[in-house]
Amino acid sequence: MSAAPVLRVSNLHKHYGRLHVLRGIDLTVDRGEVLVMIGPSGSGKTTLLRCLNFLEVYDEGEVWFGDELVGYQRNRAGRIVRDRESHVARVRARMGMVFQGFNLFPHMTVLENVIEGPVIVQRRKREEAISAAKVLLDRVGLADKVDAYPSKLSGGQRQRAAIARALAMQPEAMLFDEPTSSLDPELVGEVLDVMRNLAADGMTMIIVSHEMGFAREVADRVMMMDHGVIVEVGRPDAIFNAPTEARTSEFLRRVLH
Amino acid sequence: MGYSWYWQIIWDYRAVFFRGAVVTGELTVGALAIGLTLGLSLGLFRSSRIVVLRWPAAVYIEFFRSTPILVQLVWIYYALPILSGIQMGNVTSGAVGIGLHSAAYVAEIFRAGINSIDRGQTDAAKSIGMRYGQLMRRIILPQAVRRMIPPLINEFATLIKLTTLGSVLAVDELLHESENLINNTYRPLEVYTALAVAFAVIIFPVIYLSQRLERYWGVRA
Repeated sequence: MSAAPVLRVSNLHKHYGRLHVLRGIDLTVDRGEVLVMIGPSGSGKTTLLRCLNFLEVYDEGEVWFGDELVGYQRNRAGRIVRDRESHVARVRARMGMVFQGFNLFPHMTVLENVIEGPVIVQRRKREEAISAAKVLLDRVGLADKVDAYPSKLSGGQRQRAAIARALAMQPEAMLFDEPTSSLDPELVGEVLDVMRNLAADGMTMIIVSHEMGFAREVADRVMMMDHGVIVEVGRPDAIFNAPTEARTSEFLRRVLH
Repeated sequence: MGYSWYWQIIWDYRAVFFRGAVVTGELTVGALAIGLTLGLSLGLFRSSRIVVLRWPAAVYIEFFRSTPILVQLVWIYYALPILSGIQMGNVTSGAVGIGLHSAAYVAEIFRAGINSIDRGQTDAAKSIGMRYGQLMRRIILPQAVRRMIPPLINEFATLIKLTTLGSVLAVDELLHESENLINNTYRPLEVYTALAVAFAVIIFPVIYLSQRLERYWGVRA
């Protein structure tokens, strides 16, 4: 792995009113690394993930994506202030994100969903974007659904289309927010297969997931969160077989029973 | 009840109705233009993150929704000229008054349409690097407009009916022309009945269209 981390989070804090949901997160993610975040619901995993591309505004600490500070900038007086919207958007475009609820654009076909970012945001030629999109859709097994509307797809197909939409931006990292949690059990496998292939291709991936088998198999590191802090981080075999923290073994006992 | 109807009178004075219909049309078009443009801006302002846009829009909308339109019309025609020196003719006053009133409701339809779109759509659009303008134009509005059109058409039907309030400013729209006609012919039953039927014939297709669109888009959404 290269020397400079893709993502560097330091002392990250987030409040919702009086609720302190992230309490000092420190984390680095290297290029090509697959990090899976686990932990009980309400532990702050999703909030942390959404802070990484500034869908959630954090109120203390720093998130660095490569050499860009996410969401903030230093003004002439040297003070840290909110970044311009256009620059936030540009940084965001370099990270792909996949959501629990798919969030495909329902008024567009699968192909139109996938080329929307390249054509509108990156201003690439439509024909180029279409041929690139078709390659991607073929890769996620949706070559025959190019002209279908999202409402005609199964949950697994929708999520694979959403992954293709994110990949079309040629992101340097991919964020997955519980990508299989709203799928019927028999459709989980097809989405995990796509993610497995992505990981094998060397994509940097940060995944919030309850799929412990997948985490054990694909993750380079597993990170356990609880109450807005990182409980422990380690290699999957260490976390799953010999957790050092009582909270981790307690959580794993409950989800794996 | 031995009332003997005399429908011939409606035909004899048909020119009066046509004249009134033209003025009703003028009021409608004027009020609609004001209501739509002002309403759309107010709706956007009210959904804005910027306080100096959001706050005045909210005050405007709530003020116009919580006062009677009849009072608003009379105020614009009689009070505004004294306070500001702006003296508009009665037709203009009517159109402006109904338009300003309607804008408050259009703004709420617009805001409700935007708010009805799932937050995940905004998240997804932002995650592929869209800025606010792009995500509004490409993602949110195309979906919101479908949900806004049926209630907007309903508002249009309401607006046509509201134009009869122009009669209190002596605007010669359909109702006022009818009243004038009754004063000359002493035939209120025929005239008012014909007036009601005329409005129904104009407005029913509008309401029907709105319902059909709602069902059509409801099925496809």
